[in-house]
Amino acid sequence: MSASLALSLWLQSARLQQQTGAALGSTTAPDSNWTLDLLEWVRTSWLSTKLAGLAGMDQAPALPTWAAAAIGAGIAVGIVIGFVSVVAMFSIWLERRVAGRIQSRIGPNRVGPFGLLQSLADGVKLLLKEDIIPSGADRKLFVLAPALVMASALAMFAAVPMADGAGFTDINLGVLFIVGISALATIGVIMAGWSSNNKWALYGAMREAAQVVSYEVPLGISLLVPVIVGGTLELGAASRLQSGWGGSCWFLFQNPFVLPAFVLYFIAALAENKRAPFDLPESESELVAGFHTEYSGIRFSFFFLEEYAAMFLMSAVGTALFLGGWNFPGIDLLKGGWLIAAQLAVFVVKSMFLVLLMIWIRWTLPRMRVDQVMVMGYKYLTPLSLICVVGASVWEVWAAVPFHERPIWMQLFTPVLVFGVCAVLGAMLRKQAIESAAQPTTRSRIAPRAHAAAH
Amino acid sequence: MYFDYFNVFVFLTTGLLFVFANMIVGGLVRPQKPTPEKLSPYECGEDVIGDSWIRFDIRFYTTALIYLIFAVEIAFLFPWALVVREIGMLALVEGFTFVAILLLGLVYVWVKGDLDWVKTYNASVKGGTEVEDRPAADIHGGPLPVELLQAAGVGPTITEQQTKGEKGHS
Repeated sequence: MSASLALSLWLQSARLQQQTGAALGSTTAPDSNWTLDLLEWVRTSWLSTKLAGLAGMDQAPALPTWAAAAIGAGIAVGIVIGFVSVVAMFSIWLERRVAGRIQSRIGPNRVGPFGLLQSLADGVKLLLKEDIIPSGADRKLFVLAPALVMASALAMFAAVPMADGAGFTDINLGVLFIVGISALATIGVIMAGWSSNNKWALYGAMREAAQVVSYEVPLGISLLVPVIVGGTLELGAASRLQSGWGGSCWFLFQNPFVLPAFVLYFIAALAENKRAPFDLPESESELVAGFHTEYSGIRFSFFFLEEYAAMFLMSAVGTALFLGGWNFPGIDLLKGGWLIAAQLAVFVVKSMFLVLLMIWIRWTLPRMRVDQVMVMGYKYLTPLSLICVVGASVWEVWAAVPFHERPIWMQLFTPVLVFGVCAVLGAMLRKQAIESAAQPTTRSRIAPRAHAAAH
Repeated sequence: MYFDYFNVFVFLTTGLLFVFANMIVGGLVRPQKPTPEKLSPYECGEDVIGDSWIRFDIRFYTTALIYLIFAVEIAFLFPWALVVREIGMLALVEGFTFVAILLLGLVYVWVKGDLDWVKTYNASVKGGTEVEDRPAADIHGGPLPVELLQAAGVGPTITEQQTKGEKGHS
């Protein structure tokens, strides 16, 4: 039944999207894909023609469609695996360095320049470690769990557009797809926790399931807001809709309710990724290591890799749907390959900035209590995100036309509001920080020795 | 478009294969010297007591049920969100009616107390369940036995309990 429901939903939204795509005049993604173009280029290249000539043919024969599609996807997936590994390793290094900085120590700085190769060294070490499957474990599920988690992380990357026309695929139901596939990782985690036959792992997995399931609701609802504003579920098309104003017409500046929705999305994404202050499923002071207590060596590293890949992915979705994707002021002055490279750089830098924010939050805020975490998702985030959806849809219906056809005062209203709110909040925080720094009592309580040394 | 979904299939398969390929490569270079102690479940060095595949708290089931309702709501709202500006007022009214009905469900669950992780039962609230007044149970089962609390010096004395007729520690 659920399959038929999903199918009908898919058909319906595909049809609706065609209509809206035509109505908005948005450029839909071309039917060809750059991986297929690459194959075609290889086929018609000088070397291939020479080789075909040796075989007595005029030109290299065209591949059958399915083979071309398979090889094209293979190229894409190879790039994605490389990209995911590099991004995850860089994020791990970044996390350790930032943590070191925040805790007044150095962090890894010995392996490679600035310790950049530390994660690689750790990976090699983990590969050489003994692999232990507990005697009481359900072996099949135990082995399958990290693979499922890794597969879901990779599949989510399939829908992320890094640059205009250079995404791995441009799925027309991108947002829905990502929300759906991210649930697959949860199943992998429950499998890991349950199959370990370990009490810590079981508690961790159950907490994880409850937490992820609770925060999936505000996450999904806050993702509705950019969908309302853009009228598309395709991440690439959404990014294209944000390219106005010389690359700064982000959804954030198109509707006043996108900013609160983004904040809610970010909080929910933290909880979805089990990041502090929501890292109850793996809180080491209560549950040793949570669901991966029994995992060691390279098997453990897959969970670790997935966590950082998922962090980047949630940031990438946030970038594409709220922060303008690959658009940046002045980027359209570039052309051709430079434009693609610049778009890629902008997208990765924006996403890494959000990852940095997640890391910063982790090392700044204390962990929440389990009941606070469970209550916050439904009692605060869900109603607030529903308010955002209601507000955004009322605003859009009132405006009635796509963003670029609105009167100029309406276009300028949201950017002014957003910058105003940010300025006021920033000033308040700054004032508070200055006041708290001026009070000697708090500082002497935290670090009496440092305070004494200062005098 | 079908190419896109085929691509997703390839991504999923490669993700699975990537893990197993790494496991096989690692198997060539890593040591493998299992001992019974090494293979026993980790419980901080203690001997393992009982199986871990136990019955679990019903609260997780409630959480899953609540999630199911809202997940369906979100799935229905996505097609609505795509066209709300185009259709206009009619879509707005329909969407809000839909959301309002679901919000009613949220309010019901909220008042009933199913959103609270640590349950506090209140018989005065309509629909609340009247149960014996006792301190909130911790996650792993009911309150600690009185004998244990007495042994630790924090529990009530027997006489107190008998005279006041209380259950559990005060």
